[in-house]
Amino acid sequence: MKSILKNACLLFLLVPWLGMAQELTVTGTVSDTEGFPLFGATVQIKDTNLGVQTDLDGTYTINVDGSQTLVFSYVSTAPLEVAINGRSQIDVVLESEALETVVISAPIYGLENPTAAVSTVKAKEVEQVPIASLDQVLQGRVAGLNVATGSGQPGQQGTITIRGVNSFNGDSEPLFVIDGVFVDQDNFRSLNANDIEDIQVLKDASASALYGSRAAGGVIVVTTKRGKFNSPLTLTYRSQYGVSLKPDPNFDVLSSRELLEYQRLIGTGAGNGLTDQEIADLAQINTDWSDIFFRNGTTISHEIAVSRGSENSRSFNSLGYFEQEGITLGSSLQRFTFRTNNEVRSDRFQLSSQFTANFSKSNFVVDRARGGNTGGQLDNPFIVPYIGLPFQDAFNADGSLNTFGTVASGALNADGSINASGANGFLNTPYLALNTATFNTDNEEELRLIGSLDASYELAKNLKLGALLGADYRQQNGTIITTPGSIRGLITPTADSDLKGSRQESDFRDLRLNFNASLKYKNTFGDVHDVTASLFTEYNKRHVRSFGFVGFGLNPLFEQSINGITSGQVVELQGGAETRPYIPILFGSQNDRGLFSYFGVLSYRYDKRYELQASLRRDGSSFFPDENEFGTFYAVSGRWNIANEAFMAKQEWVNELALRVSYGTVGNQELFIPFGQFSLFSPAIGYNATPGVVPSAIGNDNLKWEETTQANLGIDFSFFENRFSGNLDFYSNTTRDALLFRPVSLTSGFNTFPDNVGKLRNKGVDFEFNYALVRNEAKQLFVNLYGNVNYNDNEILSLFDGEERVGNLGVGQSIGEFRLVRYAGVNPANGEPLYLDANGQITNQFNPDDAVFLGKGTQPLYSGGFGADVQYKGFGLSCLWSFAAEQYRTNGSLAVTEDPSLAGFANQSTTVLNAWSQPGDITDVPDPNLGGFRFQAGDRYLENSSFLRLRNIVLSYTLRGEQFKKKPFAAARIYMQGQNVLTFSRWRGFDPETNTGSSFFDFPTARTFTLGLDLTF
Amino acid sequence: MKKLFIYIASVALLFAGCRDATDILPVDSVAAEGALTTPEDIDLALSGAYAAYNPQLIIQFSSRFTDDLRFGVDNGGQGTVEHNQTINAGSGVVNNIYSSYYAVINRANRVLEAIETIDSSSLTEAQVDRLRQIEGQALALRALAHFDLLTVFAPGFADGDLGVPYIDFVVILELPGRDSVGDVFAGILSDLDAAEAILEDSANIFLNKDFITALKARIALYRGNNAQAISLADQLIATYPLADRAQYVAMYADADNTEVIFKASRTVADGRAGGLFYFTGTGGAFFEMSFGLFDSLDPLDIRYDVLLDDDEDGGTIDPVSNPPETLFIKKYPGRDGQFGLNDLKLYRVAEQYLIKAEAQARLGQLAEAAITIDALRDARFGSDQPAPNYSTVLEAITDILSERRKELAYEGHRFIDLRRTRDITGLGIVRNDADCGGPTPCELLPTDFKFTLPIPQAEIDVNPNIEQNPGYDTN
Repeated sequence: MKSILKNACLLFLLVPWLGMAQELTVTGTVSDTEGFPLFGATVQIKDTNLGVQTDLDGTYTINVDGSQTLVFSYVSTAPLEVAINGRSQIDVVLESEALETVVISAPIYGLENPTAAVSTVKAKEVEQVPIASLDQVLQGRVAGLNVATGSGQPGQQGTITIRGVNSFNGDSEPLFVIDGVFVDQDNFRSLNANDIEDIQVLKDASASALYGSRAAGGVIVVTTKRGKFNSPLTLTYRSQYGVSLKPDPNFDVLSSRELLEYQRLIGTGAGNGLTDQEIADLAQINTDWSDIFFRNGTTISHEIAVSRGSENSRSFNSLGYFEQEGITLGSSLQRFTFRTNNEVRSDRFQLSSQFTANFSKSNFVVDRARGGNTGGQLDNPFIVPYIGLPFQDAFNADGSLNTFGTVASGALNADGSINASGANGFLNTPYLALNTATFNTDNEEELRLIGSLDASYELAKNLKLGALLGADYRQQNGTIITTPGSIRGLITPTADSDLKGSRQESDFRDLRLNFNASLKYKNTFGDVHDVTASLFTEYNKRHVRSFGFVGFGLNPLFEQSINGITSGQVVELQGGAETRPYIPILFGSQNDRGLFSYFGVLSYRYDKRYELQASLRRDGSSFFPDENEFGTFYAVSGRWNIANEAFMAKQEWVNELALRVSYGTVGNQELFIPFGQFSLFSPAIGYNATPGVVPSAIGNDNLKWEETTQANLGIDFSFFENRFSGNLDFYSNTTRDALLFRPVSLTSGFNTFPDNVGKLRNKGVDFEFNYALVRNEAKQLFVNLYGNVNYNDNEILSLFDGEERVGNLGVGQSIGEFRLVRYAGVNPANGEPLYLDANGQITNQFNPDDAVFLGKGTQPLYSGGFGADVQYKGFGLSCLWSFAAEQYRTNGSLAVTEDPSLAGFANQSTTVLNAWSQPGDITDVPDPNLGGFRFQAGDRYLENSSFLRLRNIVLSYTLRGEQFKKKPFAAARIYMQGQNVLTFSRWRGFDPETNTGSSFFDFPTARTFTLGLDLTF
Repeated sequence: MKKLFIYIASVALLFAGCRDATDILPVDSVAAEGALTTPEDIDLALSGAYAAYNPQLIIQFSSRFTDDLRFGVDNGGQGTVEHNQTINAGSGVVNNIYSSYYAVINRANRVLEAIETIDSSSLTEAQVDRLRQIEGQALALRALAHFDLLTVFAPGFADGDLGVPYIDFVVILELPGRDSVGDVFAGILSDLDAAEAILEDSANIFLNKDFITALKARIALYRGNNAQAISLADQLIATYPLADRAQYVAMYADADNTEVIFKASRTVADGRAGGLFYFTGTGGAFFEMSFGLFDSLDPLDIRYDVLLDDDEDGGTIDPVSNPPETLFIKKYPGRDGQFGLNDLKLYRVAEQYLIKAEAQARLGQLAEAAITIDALRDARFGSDQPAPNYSTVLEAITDILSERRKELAYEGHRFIDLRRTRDITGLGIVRNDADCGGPTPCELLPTDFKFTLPIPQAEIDVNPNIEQNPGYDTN
C-alpha cells in the first residue's frame, strides 16, 4: 500500500520532467563490498529531492535526465556520486566505511580517524539475536574482543576483555559509549540491541586516546539508528517467539542403586548398612533431578520501529517488548524499550537528540551470580542436578511436585509435623530449592534512561563549535520476599518468632553525566592537504546512591505487601524473655566520582595517500591525590594508503591496501574503590551493641594513574574486486604503574592496600577477513565466509620491590594463571592421594607452599569466531561459530561430587565408581574411606574449558511485496534462529563459558531456538 | 550570535567545574588522618577495637581439633579441616585467627596513637579521666590479643621459642618478623602493668584490674612460674566465690556473674557461640559432644546438665541403659529467646582454682593440689566430695586435666591444656574410638608438629621476615 503510494507520488513528481529533459530510465543494482545486494539503499538525483530506494535484490529503477548525477548512499557506507552520462544501467558497489575510512562515529567527536585499529559490527549482526544483554551478542564477532558470561540468567552481562587483561586489579573492561554518553559498562539488560546502527570496537591508542581515561581496556562505541535524510516513512514490525532448552550436561551422577551401594561401601547416608534387597527397594525411585529443575523457557518479542527523513530532519523511533524465561523456574526478564532519535539541521547548525527510556523486570533464582551467593546455597537450582539424591521422589503420592520434602529428607518428623531444621538441611536440598523457587521472590525492576543532546554550529567557514550533553541514569528497585509459608520462612527471622518471613526492599541509583565542548577547524589546502584540528574539554561525573531495608514478620494476609512487615517495636515472649524479633535492618551508601579532561587532536592528510594524526590530553581524576590528579596521555598514528599510489595503479586486483601504525598512551583510574587515596575510618556496630568506628581501609596517598602504552601495526586490504578483504593487526600493550591491591602483612589488620606497582604486557595478533566465495548475480547466489581470531600473550613483567611472586601473580607468568599444588594421582599401594612438591618429587603431604605455576590460565590464548552467510534468491542461511582455546578453570562442582565426606547427603559423580579399593588399583580417585580431599585438591579439578560453539544460526526466507498482487508490504522476512546450538568442549559440566576461574554450580547458558518475522511497510 | 555566547559560557563553566569533578571526598567514611580528635571519637574507636576481639575463633579451633566434639547429625562438611586435623598454612581457619587477632591489635594501637596525639590541655577533667581509662583498656586488649596468638602460633612457652610479632605501633607497610616468646611476654606484661596502674573498677564485660590478675596467673602457670601463679590465683580466689549449682546454671544463661572475672559481651550483632555447633537459623547440629567427654561426665555433676542437652529425644539419657545416639551440646543455650547467643565467659574464678591446683601439683604439693580440686568439685556437685588422693605428679596432672576438660569445655582451653601437659602425660590428642575413624584421626601424637598452627601462607608470601613453624615448612 505504502509502496503504491510512494510510486504514485514519484510518478506524479516526474510528470513535469517528461517533456523538458532528455528522459532516461536507469536501472541497476547496489551491493556492498561483500557482494551482497543492499536493500533500502538510497539512490538520489543530486541536488534534488528525488530519489528511490533499492529493493531486496538491491535493484532500483529511476527516471532521470541523462546528464544528471546519482548519489548512492546506505547506512554506514560513504555516499557515492556517479555521473549518469547517458547510461541506462549503473551497478555500484558501496564500500562500507570500515574498509574505506573509519569514522569514529560517536557524534561527540565526529572525527575521522582512518589511522586507528577499529572493528565494526553492523546492525544486521546484532538485530533480533535472542540474547537480552548487548555485550553478549558481540561474542565471536570481533577479533580481540572476548565476552565471558557467568550466568544464564536472561539479561546477565558478561565480562568483556579487548586484547587481554591489562591491569592487575584495575578495571580491564572497555569503556562503553552510546551516542556519546559514557555509560555503565556492566549493565545492558534493559537496552534494545535492535536500535543499534553499528558498534565500533576501538582497540589501539590512536582510537582510545580520544576517550582518554578508562579507555585502556579499549572502547566500544555504539551508535543507534537515526533514520535517513530524504527518506520516506518506513515502518518495521518485528516479532520473535522461541524456546530455551537446557544445555547438555557433560557429566554423569550415580543412579539410586549405585549411590546406595557406594554409601554402604563407605558407611554413610541412607545406604549405610542396607541389604541388597533394601537397596533394590529404595532404588525403585531413580529421580533425574535435572529433569525437574530445567524447564523450557519461552522468548517473545515484538517491536515497531518507524523512521523517516526530510531534507533537513530525520528521526527514528522504536517501541519494543521483550520477554525471556530462563531455563529454570523463577528466572525471567521482561523488558519494555522506547527510543526516539531526532536530528535537525540547517546550513550552519545541527542538533540531534538521542533518548531511550527502558523498563525491565528481572526475576532471579538463588544462583551463583546473584548477590553475595557462592553457588553453594542449597536453594540454588543448579546445585540439585549434581547433589540431589536420586532415591528421593520428586513427586507426591498424588503425582504433584513435592515442594516441601519428606520424612526421609528430614523436612517432616515421623508424625508428619514440620521439622524446620531438617527442611533447611542438606538432605532436603532438592525440595528446598523447589520451595524457594516456587514461594519466594527475588526481583529487580530497572529503569534505564540514556539521553544525549548533540549540537554543532559553524562559527565561520571551516570552524565549528560543538557541544554534547549526555546522561545515563539507572535505577534499580529490588524486592526479596521470603514468604512465611516457605521453608526459608520457617526460620526467618528466627525459628521461634510468632510471625515469619522477611522482605527486603532496595533502591539503587546511578547517574553518569558527561558534558563535552569542542572547537574544530577543518580545511583543505591546495586540493591535497587536508587538515583538521580540534580542541575539547570534557566533564564527567558519577553519582551513586543506594538504600534499603529488610523487614521481618510478614502478616500472612498481606505477605506480598510492604505493609505486611511487622513493626520492630513488637515484643514477643520467647523462652520467658521479652524479645524484639522484628527489628528491621537498614542499609545504604553514597559516593561520587569525577573526571575532568581537556585534549586536542590534529590530523593531516596528503593526497589521500598519507594520513597522520596526533592527540594530546590531560585527565584529572577524583581517584587520585591532588599532586597526582592529572595524567597526560598522547597518541600518534599514521596510515599509508598504498593502493592510492601511482605505482599501484596497474595492480587492478588491489582494491585497497593500507598500512597503519599507531603508538600512544592511555590511562586507567578505575580501581573499583573510589577513595583508594585515603586511609579510612567507617562507622560500625561496636562492642556490646554500642556504636563504634573502625579502620576500614589503608589508603595510599601516592596513588596515581595506571598507564598503558599501546603500539599497533596494521594492514587493511581488499583484493579481487573486493572479494577478499580484511585486516591484520599486531599489537603490544604495556601497562606501567599497574594498580594492584598489594598484599600487606596481616599484622597491619588488613590484607591489601592499593598501589601502583609492576608492569605487564599483552601482545598479540588480530586477524579479520571476509571472503566472497560465490557472487553469482545471475543465479542470485551469494556465499560469504568470514572469520576472526585473536592470539594474546599476557605476561607480567615485574611486580614490586623485586618480588617474583605476589599471591597468584608471578613475574613471567600471565594474569589468571593457576598456581596450584600438582596432584599426582593415587598411591596404588594404599589409596592415598599423592602430590608433587615444588621440586617435582612425589609426596603424600599436601602443602600449599608446593604450589607452582602451571602455565594454564583463565584467559584464552586464542579466541575468535567464524561463519558463513549464504543467500540464494529469497533464502538466507548464516551461522556464527565462536571459540576460545587454551583456557582453564577449576571444576568445584565436580569436586563436591567426588567428596566421600559429603556422600551421605550429596549424590556423587560416576567417577567415584573408579575409586581406589584395594592395593594395586590404578586410579585417580583416592580411597573414599580416607575422607574427602576437596580442600587439598591442588590441580586435580583444573580442567580445560576451551570450547567451540555454534553461537548463532539463522535460516531465513524473504518475500518481496511485489510478488503479491496487492503488495501488502514492502518486504517480509521469516526466519528460524538457533543460539548456542552445538558446543564442543572437554569441560565436565553444563557450560564451558564463564567469567570466573572456578565453577561452582553456575547457571549455564541456554540453547535458544526462535521463529521470527520481520515486516517492512 | 546568541548561541555563540551560550557555547562560550558553557565552555567557561566547564573549566569552573573542574574541581567539582576531581576533588571528591568520601561521605560514608572519613579519612583516618585526624579522624579521632576528641575523647568521644576515641571511645568509639575503642568500641570498634573490642568488637574485633573474637575469642570464639580459638574456642572453635580448640574444640574441633581436640577430643571434645564429634561430627553431628547435620554435618555437611562444617569444620572438617579442623576436626580431621588436615590444617595447612593455606587453611582459612589459620588465616582467620591470625588476621582477626592482629586486627584487634591494630585497632588498639590506633586508639593508643590517637590518645598520644590529642591535645589534652583543652579537655575537661572528666574527659582526661575517660581517656586514661580508654588507654588502660586498649593496652590490656593489646596484651590479651598477643597472648591468645601465642597460645596457638608459638611452638612452646619457653623464652627462646619462636613467638609472634609483638606489635605496638600501627603497621602499614612494615614487615615485622617473629619475636621470641620471652620478648612477647615481656611486651604483654609491660602492657598489663601499665594498664593495671591506670584502670579503675569497671563492669566485667570490660578488661579490668581483676582480669589483669587472672591473665597474669594464667601466664605464670603456662610459663612455669608456679609459685607466682598460686599467689595470683589466691588473690582472685579471695575475691570471687565459686558459683553454687543454681548460679552455675544461671551463669551460662548470662544471668549470674558470681564467678565471672571477664566475659566478652555478645549481642545480636555478634556471632553466636551456639554457631560453634549448630546452624543458628535451623538449630541443626553439625557438631555434637564427643563420647569421650560424655563418658567423663557424672550425671550428678552440674556440669553434666550445663553441657548436655539431654532431653532432646524426650527423656533423660542414661549412659548405661539408654546410650544416646545424639549428644547435643547446651553450653551456649542462648538468652532472651535468641538461640545460641551468649556472652563468652573467658576468665572465671573456677579456672583460678585449676591454675592453683596445677601449679601446686607441678611444685610437688600434691596434697594441697587435691584440696584445691576438691573445693571446685564440692561446688559443682553441691555436696562434699571425697578429696582425690594424688601419689604422683602424673596422677595429679592427669586428674586436673580431666577436671579442666569438664569445667572449661568449649571455652577454648582444651587444645592448649593438652599441649601444655604433653611433656608430663606423654599423650597427645587421644579420641574415644566411637568419635573417630575413617578420615577422622583417633590420635595425634604428642610429638606431632600439628600441635602448633602454621603461620598463614598469606603472611609467609608477603613477609620475608616471618619464619614458618616447624613441620609446615617442607621446602
